[in-house]
Amino acid sequence: MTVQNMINVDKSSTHSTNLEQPGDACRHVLVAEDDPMFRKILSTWLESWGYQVTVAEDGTKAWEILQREPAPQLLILDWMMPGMNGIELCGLIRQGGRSPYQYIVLVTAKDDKQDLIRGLEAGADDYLPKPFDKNELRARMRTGGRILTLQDEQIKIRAQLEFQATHDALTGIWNRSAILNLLNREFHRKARSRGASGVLMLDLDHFKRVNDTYGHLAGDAVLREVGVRMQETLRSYDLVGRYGGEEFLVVLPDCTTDEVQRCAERIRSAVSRDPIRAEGSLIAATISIGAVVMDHSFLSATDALRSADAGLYEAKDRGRNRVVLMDCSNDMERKEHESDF
Amino acid sequence: MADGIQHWDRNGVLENMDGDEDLVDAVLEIFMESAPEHLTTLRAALETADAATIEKTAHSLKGELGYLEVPELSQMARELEESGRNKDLENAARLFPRVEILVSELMASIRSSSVAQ
Repeated sequence: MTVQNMINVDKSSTHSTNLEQPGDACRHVLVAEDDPMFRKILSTWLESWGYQVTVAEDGTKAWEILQREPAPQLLILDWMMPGMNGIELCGLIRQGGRSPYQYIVLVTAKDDKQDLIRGLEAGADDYLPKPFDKNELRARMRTGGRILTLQDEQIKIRAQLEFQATHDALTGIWNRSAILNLLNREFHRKARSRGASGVLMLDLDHFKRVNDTYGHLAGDAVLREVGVRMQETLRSYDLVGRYGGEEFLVVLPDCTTDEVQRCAERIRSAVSRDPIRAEGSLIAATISIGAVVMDHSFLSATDALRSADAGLYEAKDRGRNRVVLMDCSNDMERKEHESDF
Repeated sequence: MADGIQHWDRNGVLENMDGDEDLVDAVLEIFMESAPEHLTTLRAALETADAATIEKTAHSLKGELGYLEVPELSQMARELEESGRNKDLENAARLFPRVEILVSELMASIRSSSVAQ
């Protein structure tokens, strides 16, 4: 597949939403109206068009409903209401600067142009004079739905971009900057609670040889599979990231020394146990791991990372495919894990 | 003086409600309940010279009348609302009796039309 093709596929997948069929977010309408006749007419018509309608008899109740999650995104507010009127409610909603944006239609029997301007300035998106026509109401609701649907799509795209900015494109695990941020956050969290977390630096052994022998696509497949095996091995709240080419960084929140050792050993064995199928070949891979228990004796996350990295070099020196747990509480005295191989 | 209410016709309302008979019944029922309340409130507000309540109540009445195809009465309710806003109690007192009569006539027409139904 060419790069151009990949871009096209991406484009079509983000534009799959049909604007005439608004999503669930645009189906839920709040009607704030003190007059029972208008409440009845509005909810009857809106429901006949498939909207889910929540009714509030005054502005204060409407505000309460808007605090719930998920709050309706299409709002029909009457101007004149006891308690809080439509204009005040409008201002309050806009003041909060809520995301996602709520589409507000202001309804009133007021028919002065000056009122219309006041309503729009208070933050209303549209304005409907009473008594309104059924078809006009329907058209205006569709307009609101269209805008909310566009917003929905943008929120989805933003989430996609956020994912892309923090995840490694090849393996889908955290990327370098994200995992370093998470390590840093974990360090500060631990500094407050005086607990300990595991930090592992991992490096695939002789990875250049995999690329040279089987090609870079096979190398990619190996990296992906190693990512999968690491995640399968770990707890759901452990953090796995790609640090560099064939280097990984793992953060294990709330771990004892024994647990860090066991986790690292589980990863080592998961990588080496079965050969990896890639591009029609079976490739035997092994990984070397430097581990450290990050506790209050470290000055910074970088300090812990440096120590784990030293462990990784030690593991490489000692013949690879092994775990070296650095014991930093006893003046960097190293303790090699007794592996069963 | 027009005699619009005499010729009040349910079909106009039915058209406004897009042919939904049930909705027409519901809307008329709500009006039959709320209109006397509005009149009582307006009468009391005139006695206590409460212009704000006159404005607010006439506004509600005007809104409900909007669907009932009574242009003359709607217009009078609008004027009553404006008198309240302008604190012109004299004009409000002048308008109110006529509004009261027309609303009563409208209610009688609605009642007889629902009997005929």
